[in-house]
Amino acid sequence: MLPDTRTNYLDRMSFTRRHFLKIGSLAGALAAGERIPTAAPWTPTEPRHDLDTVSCAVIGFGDWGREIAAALDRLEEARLTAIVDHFPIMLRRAQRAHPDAARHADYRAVLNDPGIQAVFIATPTHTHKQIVIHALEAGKHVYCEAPLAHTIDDSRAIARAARAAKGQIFQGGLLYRTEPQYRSVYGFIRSGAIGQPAMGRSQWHMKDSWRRVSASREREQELNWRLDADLSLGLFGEVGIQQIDTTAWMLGGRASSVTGFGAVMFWKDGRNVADTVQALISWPNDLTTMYDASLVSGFDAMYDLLFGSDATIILRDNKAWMFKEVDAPMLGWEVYARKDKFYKETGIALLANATKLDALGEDPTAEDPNAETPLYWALKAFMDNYNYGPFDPVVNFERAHEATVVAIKGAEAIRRNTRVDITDEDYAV
Amino acid sequence: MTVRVARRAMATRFECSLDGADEVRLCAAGEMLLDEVTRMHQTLSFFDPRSELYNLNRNAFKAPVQVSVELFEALSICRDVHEASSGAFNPVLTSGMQHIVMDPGSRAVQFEAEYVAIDLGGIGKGSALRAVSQLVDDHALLGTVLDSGLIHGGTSSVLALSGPFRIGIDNPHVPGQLLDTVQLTDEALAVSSVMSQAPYGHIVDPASGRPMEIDRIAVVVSTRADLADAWATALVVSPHVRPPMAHVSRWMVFDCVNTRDWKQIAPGHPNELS
Repeated sequence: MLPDTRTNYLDRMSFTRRHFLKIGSLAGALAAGERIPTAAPWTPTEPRHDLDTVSCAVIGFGDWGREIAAALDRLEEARLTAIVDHFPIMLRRAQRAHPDAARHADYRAVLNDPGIQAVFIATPTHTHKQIVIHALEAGKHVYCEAPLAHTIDDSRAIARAARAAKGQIFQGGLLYRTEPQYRSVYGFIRSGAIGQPAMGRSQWHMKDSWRRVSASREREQELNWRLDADLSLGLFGEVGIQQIDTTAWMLGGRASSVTGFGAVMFWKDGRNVADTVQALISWPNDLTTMYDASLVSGFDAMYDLLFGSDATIILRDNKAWMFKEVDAPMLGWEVYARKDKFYKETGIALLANATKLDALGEDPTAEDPNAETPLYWALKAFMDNYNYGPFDPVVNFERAHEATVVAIKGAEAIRRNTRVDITDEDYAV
Repeated sequence: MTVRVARRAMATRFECSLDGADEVRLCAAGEMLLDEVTRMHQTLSFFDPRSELYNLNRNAFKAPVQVSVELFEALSICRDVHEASSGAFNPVLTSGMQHIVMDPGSRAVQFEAEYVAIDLGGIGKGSALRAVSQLVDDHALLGTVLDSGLIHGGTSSVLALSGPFRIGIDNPHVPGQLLDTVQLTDEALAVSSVMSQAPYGHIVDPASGRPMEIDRIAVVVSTRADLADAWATALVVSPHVRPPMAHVSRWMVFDCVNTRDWKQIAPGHPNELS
């Protein structure tokens, strides 16, 4: 017998006029890559309507689980109903931060609650599989953090379970495919603005040990799963998956190999997971991109660069710039575009909705006061799917599995300081 | 051994100086505590457009804005100190707190007048240290990972974990000379000061609306870092206001009497801090 949540979701698929209009505007916004208009996220001006509010539970209240919970609190369409963590201290923190949400030590409590429609799984990577499969079996809509799993078999099991769960949303936690600025840049790139892609480079730098502490040694060992080579995909897999997926999305195609290098350069505390990594990723048409990540140097933080015969585009924070080659063809709109100097280079600011902002008299390159995090947009996409779908999520089980495969293979390449090939069989669900 | 970990936040440098047996665990603990500082910065920053406070200032006149538990608590502290200091502590630009409506049930905040904005600079560092102390308590780090520690923000807001620690209060006109020393054990200390020679005072007298043009230092000790911070700001403006004992355990205010000497003008409780 289907749990109530699944039946209610399917029943809601009959069209109403409001439903039709919202689908129209939403689809148009997504297709154009425009910034999806939103009210300032913290201003509920009228009571939430139960019909459109998704009752949500967060499973795992660590660093990222807390971010998810905070983002859900900001979404009008979501109601944070419950938080799950098997560590009592985290439940105490949950009580203080979200006093209206129920707290449970066992995730089954939320899976057995018919009033909860969606679960957001933010436990350590190697623990995702059981929770995701149980959640889908319980009829829940599921958001699972990326990477899906630490082994290809587990990732495939998750993807298969998602594929089998007809009528239920499964969205992987890849953040940039739903971020408005990135979607706008995607449009530029796919329209040929950079010409022939030549190479790419991404980096993620932050000086941090990645180590966690607890008064309990046993708990501390559990907390430091990212420093355990048997459980962790390291920097490339746990962090780099986001930027590698951005590259795959922007340039199209699937990675065919990863050549990796890594070492513990500074945090020599007995860990066996590299604190500094570099990788070369091979793509179709002889394209190679580079990725490096470090917990030793925080210089220049995070960005993505895509180099082409006509232009290079950089994405960082929630902004993007295009640096044109001297002989590149003129784009009609660039005459009016905002330009910023970067040492000897001049970048054309690429902004979703720049023309509209200009017309409103607002500086398109000023910090956007309504800017939201990529995580917020990813969760909003989930909510939109619930309310106005069903449609295939931008980050569906296939894309999430593919990104996870690259993460796993890349982590292996870095551990072995070698090249590892990725086959179609690896990608197959 | 002692491990020092630092990070920039709230336009200043926060540093943890932690004592214990295990260097690796101490470093990780310091990062954990500074992560909390960063998180509070993202909540309370007046200048960062991505902060929760920025969003509140931008939208609360249009409609009630539901805020997080931490921001609501910071605003509640502001309101309490504002009332207890008869307005000497005022985080609201262009008006008083009478135009701020706060609903504890929904944590909704609304501004009843246009052009109202809240600046939590007078309590920000203290609020961050308060969050740090809660984290230490939640995770029972003291006595397990840490033997003791000092966390400070910009050297003007200090949190002592265990102790005792002796904190020197600098004479700003005579480098290397101390006005006084304060002993802290599981307490917070905040120092607020105004210097007339500064090109622009960072503390505005709510009564006149102008930057204060006097050399004054207020030193406050409390079990809560946010209260210490707020009252240090209030006492610089109104040195003879008496903070409630529930808020502050000890305080002292100094005025500069010539170019280098200072005189205590407001009693502590008792008459010294050390």
